[in-house]
Amino acid sequence: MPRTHLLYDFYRKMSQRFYSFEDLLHHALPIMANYLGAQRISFFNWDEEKSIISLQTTSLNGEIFDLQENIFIDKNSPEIIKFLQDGLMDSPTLDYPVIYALVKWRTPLESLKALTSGKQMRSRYGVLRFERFKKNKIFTQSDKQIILGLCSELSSKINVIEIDSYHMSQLERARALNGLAKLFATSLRLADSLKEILKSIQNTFHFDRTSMYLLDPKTQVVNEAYSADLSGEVKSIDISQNIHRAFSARCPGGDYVCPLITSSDIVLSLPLSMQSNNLGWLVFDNMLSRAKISQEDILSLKQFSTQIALAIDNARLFEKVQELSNYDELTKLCLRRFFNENLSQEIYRSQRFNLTLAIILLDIDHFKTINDTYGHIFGDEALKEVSQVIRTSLRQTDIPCRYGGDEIIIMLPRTTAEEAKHIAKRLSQKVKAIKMNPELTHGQEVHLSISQGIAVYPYDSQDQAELIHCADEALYYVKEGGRGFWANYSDVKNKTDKEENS
Amino acid sequence: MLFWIMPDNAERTQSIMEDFLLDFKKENPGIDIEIKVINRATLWNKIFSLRHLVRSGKGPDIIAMPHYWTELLIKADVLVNLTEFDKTFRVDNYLELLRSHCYKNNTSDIYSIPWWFDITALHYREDHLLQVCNNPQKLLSTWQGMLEACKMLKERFSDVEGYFPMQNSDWRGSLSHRAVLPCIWSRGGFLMDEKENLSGFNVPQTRKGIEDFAALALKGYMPILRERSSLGTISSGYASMIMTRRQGIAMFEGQKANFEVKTLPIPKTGKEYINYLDATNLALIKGPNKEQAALLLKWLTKPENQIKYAALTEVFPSSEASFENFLISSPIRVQNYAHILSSAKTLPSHIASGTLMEMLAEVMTKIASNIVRNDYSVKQLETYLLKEQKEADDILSLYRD
Repeated sequence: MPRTHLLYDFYRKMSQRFYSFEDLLHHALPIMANYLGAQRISFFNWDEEKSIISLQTTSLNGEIFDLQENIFIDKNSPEIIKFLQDGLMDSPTLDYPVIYALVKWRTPLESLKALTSGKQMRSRYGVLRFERFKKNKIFTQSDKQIILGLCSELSSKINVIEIDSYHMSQLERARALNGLAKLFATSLRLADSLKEILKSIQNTFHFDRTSMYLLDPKTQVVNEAYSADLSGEVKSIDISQNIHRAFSARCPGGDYVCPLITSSDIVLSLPLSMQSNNLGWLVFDNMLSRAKISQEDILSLKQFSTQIALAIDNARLFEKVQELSNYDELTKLCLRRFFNENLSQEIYRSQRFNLTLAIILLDIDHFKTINDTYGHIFGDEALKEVSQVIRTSLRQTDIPCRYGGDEIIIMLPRTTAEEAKHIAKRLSQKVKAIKMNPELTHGQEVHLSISQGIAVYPYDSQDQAELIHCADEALYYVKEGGRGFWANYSDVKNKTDKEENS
Repeated sequence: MLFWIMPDNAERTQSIMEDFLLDFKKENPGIDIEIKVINRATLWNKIFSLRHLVRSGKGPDIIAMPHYWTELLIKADVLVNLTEFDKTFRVDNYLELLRSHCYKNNTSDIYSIPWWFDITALHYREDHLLQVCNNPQKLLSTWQGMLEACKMLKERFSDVEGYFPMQNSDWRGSLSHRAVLPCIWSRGGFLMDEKENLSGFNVPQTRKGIEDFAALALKGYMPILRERSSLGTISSGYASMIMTRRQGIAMFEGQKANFEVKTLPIPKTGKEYINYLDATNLALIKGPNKEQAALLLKWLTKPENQIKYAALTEVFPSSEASFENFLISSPIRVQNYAHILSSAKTLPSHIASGTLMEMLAEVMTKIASNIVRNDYSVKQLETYLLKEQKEADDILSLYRD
């Protein structure tokens, strides 16, 4: 086939859309080998930094292979300087007809580099190797002209595909980032937000690991850390264990407060800052795969670290508002609405799993007199001290609530009447041991005590309001009986019934 | 069903595998198998996005992979727990050295099954060696002796253009990071300490082991980074020795060579012989075709099929029964490999094993370039190793759990 016809034929056969460089080579190499009567044709990537050309794809007798071969190439040697000028070179060592041909194209620079250098494109090189090992037929001048023509056509196709894939990847990135932005904007619950943010980053950027270290706003010490690994699963990092030594080692002074301030090709650390306040750090690493973090990713993540910081700040504010709306500022005990919601859920759970649930209703003995005698400031202090005793004496699952005035109610899930009585006894003893500040009472010693009424689900009642009423009945009984102790509704009822019957 | 395999038989991998699977296809006419050959370097890059490939339905259903990657892929949550999937999967009938890599660490859950393994050995042309020494076996027992043999052979065959005493068995034509391991271990060096807490890149024994191996290229005894460097083989007379993990019997007997090739353990660089054992395991990937892929996995690991594929690929079958049958089928094999196997060592089953090998590969690639550029120095090597030491320690610290 004459050269021009052959080149046109190649142009025609390559006139289709390729979705990747790999696709393009898989299509082009067998065609080129066929034109030249070469049994094997290989495409090498030129790694200028390492002075190596690395085999990317080989086609042998029309079939494609994924093999590896590295060849040292010295850009300053006279042979390679000539190769760069001529575009063709014979094999320096092989003893059968082999010819190398230069493929040169331009590829878009990554945004960050483009921004700093002002250039949009950079040159890249590849090398094609044509081998005729069967009949040892040498490459003629005419063959060489064809090879140059084919390389030129291949270069222009690579140019197109490079720009095309660059745009495609930008589009995909924009889509993914848009999704992330939406997530950041709508995340309100802190723990859930952090997990979702890490998960989304992993799914978008495919790092080996993404970690988030958050600082306590008051102490500026890391008090919370999460990481999402290769599986995408998010786990909280135990910060008491020195497992992020990898990062702390690089901090000035080796202090773990700053998990990572360095960045390399495979690790990137970004501060999470809001109005010059450091909330913590995001750390992205490809330490297992050793894949370089691209400039594109760095640029996107830098933009997003501000949004993530904003999302965290929002979530923290939301939590603060929630806390304020659910908790009493003076006693730090939860408020009635929050308690009722939880009691209702707990009664449902107890019903479903056949469990007992106790409540204790209590108030401070003679609180009105205390207030009138020593003033409201002392009254408030007394309430704070009693609440503090209650908060620190209960299990994590128990919920104490300021029910109104000096009235406090405690929900004790999975608790029997006997266990509730034991808890009431303990609380009573601890309250009695409270030493109030004598400065507030003009040097007088004031001792506090509490009266407590207990009711137990399902024995006393299966209805929420009625259960509280039962506890109130028991409390009334205690108050009537002289205060300072505790009583269980069933016991009270039995006693009253007996008294009535007798 | 998509089956990812590595190029076990170079350019013939696809056709050999297609022929090999004909019997399976006859037994299972409804199962269509697409084979994709992916080299180790590309596979390494792909496994980190495998979870996303699987999610988009583009992932493989079954893969062949280096055995020491199992733990990494378990952590990436892409492998099927074979014990949960089918109680009949077991590995207690495989060679002991290969078993630990099949399990998720500290559990009895199997995630991959050994398929075949290879082990480093030195093969040499006796006719060539006898031209330069009286007792090749003795001379080749130590690394120093082997370098002396190389020196004498280079002089003896100085008139043969393109001759190198040592054939480079690395497919890339570089300094192989797998081939250097026996030199490192024999010197007492290591990549990861026994407690798996610290890396050993920068311990002097590791550096010495690398220097030992690099001497082959540095002194011009082995070609590196040249065109199709695997040409210039001992079969064609352009080399006298080769260190390879492939078992040499079939390789040379099959060619009906008019010379004798003998096999020895890798010469010791330190006090003891250590030969590197590398295995290829099969694993199922989470996805819709698990049932079909499990059938293929079972078929491929049947003892008779292991032996058949091992013979085609010049490797060793990995189940105890098939390995014994394979070995005793040739008295020369028994003679050659009994000693080599007794000194075999492999990489630990650790999430970072693959990464540390990549790091070693990076060091070897850098020094290969240095050697070719004539700017190699021990100081330069130390700089590379120090950098890797720091990173490797960080990785081991991060992935301790």
